[in-house]
Amino acid sequence: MKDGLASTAVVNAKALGRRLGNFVVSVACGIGVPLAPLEAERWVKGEIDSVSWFATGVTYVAAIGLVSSSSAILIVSLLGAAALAFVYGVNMEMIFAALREHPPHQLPPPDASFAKVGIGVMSCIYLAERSLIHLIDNKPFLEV
Amino acid sequence: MLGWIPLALLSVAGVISIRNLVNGVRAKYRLARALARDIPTRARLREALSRGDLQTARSILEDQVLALPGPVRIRAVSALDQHSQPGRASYMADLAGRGA
Repeated sequence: MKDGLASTAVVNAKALGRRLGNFVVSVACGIGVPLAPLEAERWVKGEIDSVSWFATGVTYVAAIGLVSSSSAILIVSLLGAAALAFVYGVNMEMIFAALREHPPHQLPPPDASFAKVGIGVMSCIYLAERSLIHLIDNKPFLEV
Repeated sequence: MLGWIPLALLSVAGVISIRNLVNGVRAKYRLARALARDIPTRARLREALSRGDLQTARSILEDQVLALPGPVRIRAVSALDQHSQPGRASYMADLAGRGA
């Protein structure tokens, strides 16, 4: 009886380790790799350009939606990515309009706050989805 | 002002994902709890899993799944559908308390 319980505990510990491994690999591939260019830019230039925030944000929001297992999240994310791209376009248009009227010495950067928050929200969504897939449903990373 | 539109849309996606996560946790927890109380069913499930007969294992869980409330039941059915194929017994093995 004691041996049976011990072997069950070992099997469960192995299963938990495998799930955590799948989850960590999934997070590294889904959050770490797509956002690595931003970190590289910060490392090289010391700051991240607003245009980079928007370019990464729009792609990232759409990509997380595309890999989602829920069709509702897919649709809402694609709409969100399109809206974020629209916001970027409007921001740039306002900056260029101001530039045409009163030419400054340097182009002011567009406000990237919404892109930053969008990336943060999508990262949380990805974490929640992958927790369900790997930790609860126990699906391997390569089978998703 | 315009920037709030994408954030509102992404918030909706966030709510959906949190709801899916909560339903998934509730489905698995409730099924595991129901099986922990129903020793004969759990034994039959373990036996079916040890034979590798996933379709029988799934049909053994039908009654437990039907007793779950609406969205949790939908989530449980979806999880079982995905895990009733060869090589995917880990979800039901978890419910049977065997680990995989």
